Amino acid sequence: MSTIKQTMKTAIGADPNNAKAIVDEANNGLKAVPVELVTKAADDSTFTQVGASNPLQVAGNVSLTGRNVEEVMLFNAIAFTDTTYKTSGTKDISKYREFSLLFTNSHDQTINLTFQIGSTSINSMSTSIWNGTIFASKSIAIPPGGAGRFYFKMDDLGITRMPQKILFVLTPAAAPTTGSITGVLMGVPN
Amino acid sequence: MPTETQQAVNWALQYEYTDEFGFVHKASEENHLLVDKVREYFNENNVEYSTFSYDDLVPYLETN
Repeated sequence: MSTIKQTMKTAIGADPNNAKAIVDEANNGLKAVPVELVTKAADDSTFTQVGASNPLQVAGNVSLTGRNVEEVMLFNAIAFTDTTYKTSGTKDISKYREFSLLFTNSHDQTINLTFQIGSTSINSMSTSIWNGTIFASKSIAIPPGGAGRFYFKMDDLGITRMPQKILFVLTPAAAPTTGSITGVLMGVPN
Repeated sequence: MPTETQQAVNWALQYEYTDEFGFVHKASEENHLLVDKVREYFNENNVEYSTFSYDDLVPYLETN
């Protein structure tokens, strides 16, 4: 690998206004630092742009990491006044490879969360998961927590493979008299 | 929604508080805060209401 020169023979060039900033500006006003991928000659004599005639040579395995997370609103501050369930509506999550959930429950009562996989029905029935012995429905009790946040992953629901569609159901354990509940699905795109 | 909803929304929108880390939270910017305060208004003024959500308050926000 070549070395980086700590001293330069010539100064960094200036623009017509004699500004020596490296930041560039596009026609729409956005400013950024342009980056050009080059390889440096072994004798430090030249830079050559990476391209078809000068492909980037990388030894060893290369992996690109980093991901975007998209938020899907499931329950937008629902203030329950009785124990009648509410559903999120069926959500198509086929574009995600995993998801997690974040809830805020400022109610004065516990709210139970269940779910249905691949269903378009809107009742309070939950999907039962085969645990190797029996089918067991999964319910997560979200406690009354003021401004506290409650976070859990798809594994915590017993979901190990991504379904195409999912529907969440909230049912208060008792009728709340104050507060509301908000639920967001955070999906990681494929 | 109750006929008092517009008054409740107007009152709730004024609410803000600073948490222990110094961050200011405003009902006008956080949906759950707005709903909680509207509900508080209903409770304190003996207004009868059924289950509602932020989406139910959106029409009342457009008048502000």
